[in-house]
Amino acid sequence: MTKVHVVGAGLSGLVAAILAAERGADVTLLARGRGGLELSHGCIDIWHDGDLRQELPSIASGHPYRMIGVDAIEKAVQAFLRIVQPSGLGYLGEFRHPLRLPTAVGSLRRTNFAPLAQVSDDALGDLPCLIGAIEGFRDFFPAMIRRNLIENGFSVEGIVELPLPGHPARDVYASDLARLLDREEDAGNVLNAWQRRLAGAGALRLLLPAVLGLRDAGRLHRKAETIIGMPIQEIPTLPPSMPGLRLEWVLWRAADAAGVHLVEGPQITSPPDVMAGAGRVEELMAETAAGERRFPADAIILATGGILNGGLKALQDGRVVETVFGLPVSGVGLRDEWTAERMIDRQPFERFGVKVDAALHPVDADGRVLLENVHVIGGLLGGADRISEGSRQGIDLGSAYRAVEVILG
Amino acid sequence: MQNLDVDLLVIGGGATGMGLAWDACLRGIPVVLVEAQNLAEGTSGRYHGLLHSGGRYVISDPVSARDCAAENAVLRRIAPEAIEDTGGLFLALNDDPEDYPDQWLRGCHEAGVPAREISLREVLAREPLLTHDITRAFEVQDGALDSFDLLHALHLNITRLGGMVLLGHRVQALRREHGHVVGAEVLRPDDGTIVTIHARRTVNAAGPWAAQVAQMADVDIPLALGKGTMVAMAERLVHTILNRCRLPGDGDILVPVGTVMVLGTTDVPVEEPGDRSIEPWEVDMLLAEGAALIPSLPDRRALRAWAGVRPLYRPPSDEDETRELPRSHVILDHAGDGAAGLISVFGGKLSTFRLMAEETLDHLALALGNNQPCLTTEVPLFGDEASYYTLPSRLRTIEDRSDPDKSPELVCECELVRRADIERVLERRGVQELDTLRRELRIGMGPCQGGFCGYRTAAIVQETILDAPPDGGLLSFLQARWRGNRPVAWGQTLRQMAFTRRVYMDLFHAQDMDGGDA
Amino acid sequence: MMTRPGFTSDQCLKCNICTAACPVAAVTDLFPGPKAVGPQAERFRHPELPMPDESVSYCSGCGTCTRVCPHGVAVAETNIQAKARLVEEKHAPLRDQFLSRPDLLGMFLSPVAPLANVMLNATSVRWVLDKTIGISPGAALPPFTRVSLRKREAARCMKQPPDPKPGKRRVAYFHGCSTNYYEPELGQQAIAVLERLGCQVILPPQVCCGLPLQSNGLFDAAREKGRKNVSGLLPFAEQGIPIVGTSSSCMLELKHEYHAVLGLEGDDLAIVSHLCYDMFEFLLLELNDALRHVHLTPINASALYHPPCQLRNHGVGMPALGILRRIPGLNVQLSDAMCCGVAGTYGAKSEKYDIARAVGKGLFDQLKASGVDFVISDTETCRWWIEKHTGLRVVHPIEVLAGAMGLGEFRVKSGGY
Repeated sequence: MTKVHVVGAGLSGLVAAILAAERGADVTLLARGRGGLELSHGCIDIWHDGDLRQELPSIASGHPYRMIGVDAIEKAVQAFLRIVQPSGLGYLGEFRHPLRLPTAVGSLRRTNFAPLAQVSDDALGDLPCLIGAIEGFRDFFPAMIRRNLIENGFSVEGIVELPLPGHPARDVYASDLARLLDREEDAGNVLNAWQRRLAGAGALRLLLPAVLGLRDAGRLHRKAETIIGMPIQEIPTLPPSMPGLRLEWVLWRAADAAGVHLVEGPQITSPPDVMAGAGRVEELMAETAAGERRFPADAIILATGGILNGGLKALQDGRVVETVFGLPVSGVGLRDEWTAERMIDRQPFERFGVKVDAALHPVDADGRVLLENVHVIGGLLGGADRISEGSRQGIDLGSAYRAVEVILG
Repeated sequence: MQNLDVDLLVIGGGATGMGLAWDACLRGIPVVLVEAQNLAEGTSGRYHGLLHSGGRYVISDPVSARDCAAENAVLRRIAPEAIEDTGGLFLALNDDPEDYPDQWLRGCHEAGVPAREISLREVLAREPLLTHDITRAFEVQDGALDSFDLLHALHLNITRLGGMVLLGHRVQALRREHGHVVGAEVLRPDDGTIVTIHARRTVNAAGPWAAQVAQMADVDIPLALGKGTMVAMAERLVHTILNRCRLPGDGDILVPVGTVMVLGTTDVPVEEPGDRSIEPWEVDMLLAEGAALIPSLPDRRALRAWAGVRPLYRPPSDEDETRELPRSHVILDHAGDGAAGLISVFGGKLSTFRLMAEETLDHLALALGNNQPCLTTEVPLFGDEASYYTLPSRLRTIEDRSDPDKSPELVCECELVRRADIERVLERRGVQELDTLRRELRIGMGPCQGGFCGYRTAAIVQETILDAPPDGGLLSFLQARWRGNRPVAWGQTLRQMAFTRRVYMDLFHAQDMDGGDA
Repeated sequence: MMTRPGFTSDQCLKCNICTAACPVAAVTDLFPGPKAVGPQAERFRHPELPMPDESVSYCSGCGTCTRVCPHGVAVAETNIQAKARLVEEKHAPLRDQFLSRPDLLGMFLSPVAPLANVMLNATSVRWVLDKTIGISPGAALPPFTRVSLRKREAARCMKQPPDPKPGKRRVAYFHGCSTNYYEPELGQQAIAVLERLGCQVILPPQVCCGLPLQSNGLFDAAREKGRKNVSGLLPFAEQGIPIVGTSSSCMLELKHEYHAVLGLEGDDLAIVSHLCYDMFEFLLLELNDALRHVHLTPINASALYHPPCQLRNHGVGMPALGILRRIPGLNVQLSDAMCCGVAGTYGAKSEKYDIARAVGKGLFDQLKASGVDFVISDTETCRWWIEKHTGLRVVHPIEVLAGAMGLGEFRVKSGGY
């Protein structure tokens, strides 16, 4: 049985671990903390501008999509949908035509696949909206959302205040509301109160912050729509975002069900001379509570993310290091050029990452494989402008799928 | 309000100008102050936060040292709420000149700067993160001064006393009659009309822009511009102000100011009064100098960097190096330059602003027919019950559970700013810009650099203010934070910037919103 | 958790991932969340001024926050230290002085166990304890044993490592107060398992690990325990003898918290800590081959495994889960819950009991609905607490393994606690 160690439990790491375990490998997933998914919108962005299959030839040759290939990406997405299907989150969407979903500032965001709760049952999207202001919840601003949605062509009927039982003595986060609503009895009380407030509102679509539960959110969303009698469309607000946490929970459980050994907590490193050695990693090191523990490793999938999630670390002295093996990082110029002058422009640092070949092995500048039993996936891959392309989850899923395909055939 | 008639016109809303206006009010002199931008937009808002004990200048500029020592005591008496009584340390390290400390101690004594030698054991017990490489240590009465709090208090007091402060009013021309300067014409920001101000005397307290103002009366003033860069560390690593016990140089001050620690500063001659550029070598140097005092500094997070331009007096002997120029202030009456009625005041330290004002007004009093004594040493700026600012004060307020059903409604979690605080400011001022809220309340100044509070505050502004842009000013607010983060964009700060992009560009897709002229 | 002590608060990006994971913040608005009372509040605390905030006292010390933090902020350690500062300023109540000294309680009450146990279970006595010193009637106080583990295994108690027996691997067993004074049979099963797998088991000199003292803010006393344990265990560690324990909370204290929370330092501590292992971590890492060669008799039952917070914080995953799933016939589900709520002595306190119970409610409900025959968990306070609140039998994984290895009878059902 092939032993696979996946380092990093973001979207790419979790999916790679599940796929590898499904294919019969003995998989261990090692995660330093939570991150990637908890900061995401829980949706699958593949390509914002048209059909990826048609666009692919014009995408730069170093882009991860060129390494992975559209077929693998499509299969990866299908595998993802299959894995999350039992969860009831109800992912829907299309490869070729992105959905346009409202955001917490009232602009529109494009994504390819989203959970039903963010899309709602209003399939044509032509019902006028009512925006729900949940009493005491400070991270959702209906007035700003209304103003900007109207500018973006939405029909907004108005804003409705929705009560919350009790008066919390501290500020309430989205996670507090979601965990409150996970409790059956509390959910019942709240939803009934909202139903009473909304009775007689008419044929409208209700826009709410994404707080409808964490654990069995799909079911709660449908229950809410039934009780209130309106389609409900959730909007993710400030992180940690509930849709991201929901997806993470589903994938975590799916990993356990597939037999993946889940190890949460240690920072993973490697022996310091690994890059100077035989081109193969023999053991990984985990910085556990008792200090360093070493263990042998066969195939390693590196899914530690980029700058944001700690797979890459930028140093004052101008170096950018890959934090597990010290792999070379491409795209790094002078320190004062890592960021663009304007926040809204494309950022050089978001393109930093490890260069790989078609098998997702890390390679040097000449294309020579550096570590033959290591595969790099997800946010650690360089050469993409994920925000402007809308390619983040497409890269995560596609590379996870491809790496497992290479390792297990 | 197209015409104003006063005794005194003050140009410049920094500490010097505001101090002048306040002193004038207390002496019963009708005064109007005009400021082109906002309070503390210039040098007063861009410094390292040090209320000087004077120790820094006892050898290199004893006049300045003496003034600082005297004013230190005065400001503690009249404006304690703007001051944290951190105390200061002068530390000699192994590499510093061995004979300097004794010389320095004598200089302190001569200049009236209180200083006391303390043992290494005491100093390390007080500040455990300090290097053990210290040979001598001295305690002085440095304090951390919040210039925004100070200027806002001055503003409040001036207005209460009947003085007028016109913010956003830029001087277009100085009015001249028979070679005398008799006031100015200023541009109103909201409708572009001109306000004509008649004043018997005009004081040019425009800081780095003083030369430009003086030029309007065809006067050249010996102003040298020295730009200084500062870096804020995300957290206070020490609670006492640290100085190197050697001749003043770059990067040898560390000041805990509120919740951050400021490393300062450099001194680069520049041409433009608004030059805020920051070079990588400046940041690296400040961090390296800081590391000499706090060895673990390189592992700690630098939060942001900013620069301010010092208006320095360049005496006729003409030096290129601005570091060596005297820090003591200068008052020039331009009667001898063919512009009677115009006085320029510049140089000095923020710590001596009150003295600069007093001396200027003493000089002008006769001409204005006023013989009231200066009261600024005695009249408290924050009321009679005021006491020093202490670090825990905001947290203590938030934790007050006397109303158990009320949540604090924190908008800025890093700096503990509540929704009620914001509403209070919005009500009072008709404020439009998030930046004003930032200055007054410190929104966005903490570790998240607007990541969370930006959204909340912008939305509150958007729903409260009638003409607010559709994004509530969110994008330009975030851009201003971004700008300050860029010079230290590595480590956790780069991660923070990535996080901000992830939230606002990815999750919220704010980039298409109108209102971003960022 | 896997971090150095001292200053890490400035790494905080304020992402609130810790707040979203915090089991206490989920159930009470008296606790603003680990970020708020941790890296956020730290910026406003001055070492020479009194603590400005008290809500950090609701932190249960479960350590979830540190574990989930993506940036290496030692949130839990910061909060535990802040709580200790509060205790220093206000002094620990009498109750906390009691609850934090299970070794003393055991030493005095174990010899009179039958009487002590009757008294501690009497409703009237519990009512008085609640009203006087604040021990909740809902607290799960386990029965004392009459004969401690060390007395039963006196021959194994040694100050210095013995010469190794031929073909045997020496292992030092850190039993902790709970096994010594409350569950000596568990200790004996652990010893039996290790011996069966080729080990020579010694009971080194040891005192209470000090975690209850630490959790209750009594840092000086906790450090004393730490120093004593390090010096008692050092002769063994110096010979490379692993120190294995069945209480995941004791072992985390030795592995990590002596340094990261209490600030103890030195090579001696480093050598000892590095050689500390959770029992199943040790089995998986070092005795896996031997284990694979042992016949495991079926246990036909269903169980739910609840990994305690402290075990997760070891950063070695859930080794017991994998090993138990090898037992034929045994269906082991993984708990959905993060924390059972007890958090050591937290759940015993009158003013904290309701919160602790609310934290654990999800787990209790899951258990009642699951229809499992019994529950498995590695930390003693979790076991007693879950048993009290569900009526189900809760065992340490070593008891299950010992049963499957034929080293003692493993009864699936029991009269409950």
